[in-house]
Amino acid sequence: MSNLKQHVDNLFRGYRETAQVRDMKEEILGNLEAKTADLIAQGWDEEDAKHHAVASITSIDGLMDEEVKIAMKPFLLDLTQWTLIFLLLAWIIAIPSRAVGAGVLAQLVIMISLICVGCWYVILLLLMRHNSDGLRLVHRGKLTRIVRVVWGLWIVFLLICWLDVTGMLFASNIWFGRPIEISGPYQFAVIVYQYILPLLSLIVPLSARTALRILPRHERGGMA
Amino acid sequence: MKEQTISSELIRGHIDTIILRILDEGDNYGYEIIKAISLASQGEYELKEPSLYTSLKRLEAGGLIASYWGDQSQGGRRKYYRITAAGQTAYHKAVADWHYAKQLIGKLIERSTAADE
Repeated sequence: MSNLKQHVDNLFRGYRETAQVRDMKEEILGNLEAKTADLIAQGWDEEDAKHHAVASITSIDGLMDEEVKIAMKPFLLDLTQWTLIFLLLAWIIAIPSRAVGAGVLAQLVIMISLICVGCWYVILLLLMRHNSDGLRLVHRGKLTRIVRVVWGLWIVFLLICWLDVTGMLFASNIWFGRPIEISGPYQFAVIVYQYILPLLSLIVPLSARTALRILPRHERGGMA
Repeated sequence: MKEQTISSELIRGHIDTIILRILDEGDNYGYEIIKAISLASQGEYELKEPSLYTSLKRLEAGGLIASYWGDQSQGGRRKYYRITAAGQTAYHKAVADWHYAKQLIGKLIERSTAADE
């Protein structure tokens, strides 16, 4: 029954493990297990029964206290730090690609982003000195949905990039039925990097996800 | 399918009362409550899990039901609910309200032959 438990854990991702959340998780899991056992007793296949049970509750939006009070500035600071780390990592990963035209462009974009986010970080730090206790209500369900949308958009972006690269490089080969010619290791590297570099944009959805992940850490009061 | 959504719309406002009715017949836990409701409707209505939890939470917060953990030797524990005295009062009142509303709404939306003349 372990994947039932996993499903319940996924439902509550982004929630601080309060007594209330623990209770709710255990109750939902208990009911899912009861449903699965009941379906199996009716002659269902075990896997089908689990799938059916899992499908009966796919979201807990509206079920828990959706509005959480968070300390806004420390939250933003934390998020910015993570984004900086992701950008730095991306920059380091992109170093070997400098030999290739697209790599130079990628590094430039990352560098500019680094400078922008860095400036934003400094501004935040300066603002923090004045009042650090600004509490803001954040709608957790909405944030979860936004993060989901960002992931979706990123996947679409990636697919378009890859399609574009494939079109530029190989369309005429496919159209005229010509064999693909790669003249040497450098040419090969150019092609591979054109596929790999768009992956670096993973920082964007990763940062969005981080916002959800660090949210519980900045919750202030309000919950039992 | 259409019929199902219309009746769901009509039923929604009465889910709390329906759950109170089930619990008035005896303590029960989530999945069994859903099954009991399905059975009472002869399979014509199925309460969805998210609505169940929302309703149970609301009822418990209002003091109409109380919960306790059943002892389950294996797997997840089951959370049982029982109706409180306040819950029983609320249930009987809801039934009385329903009888009144049913005849009133019936008078309003059904055209009797007498009204035609």
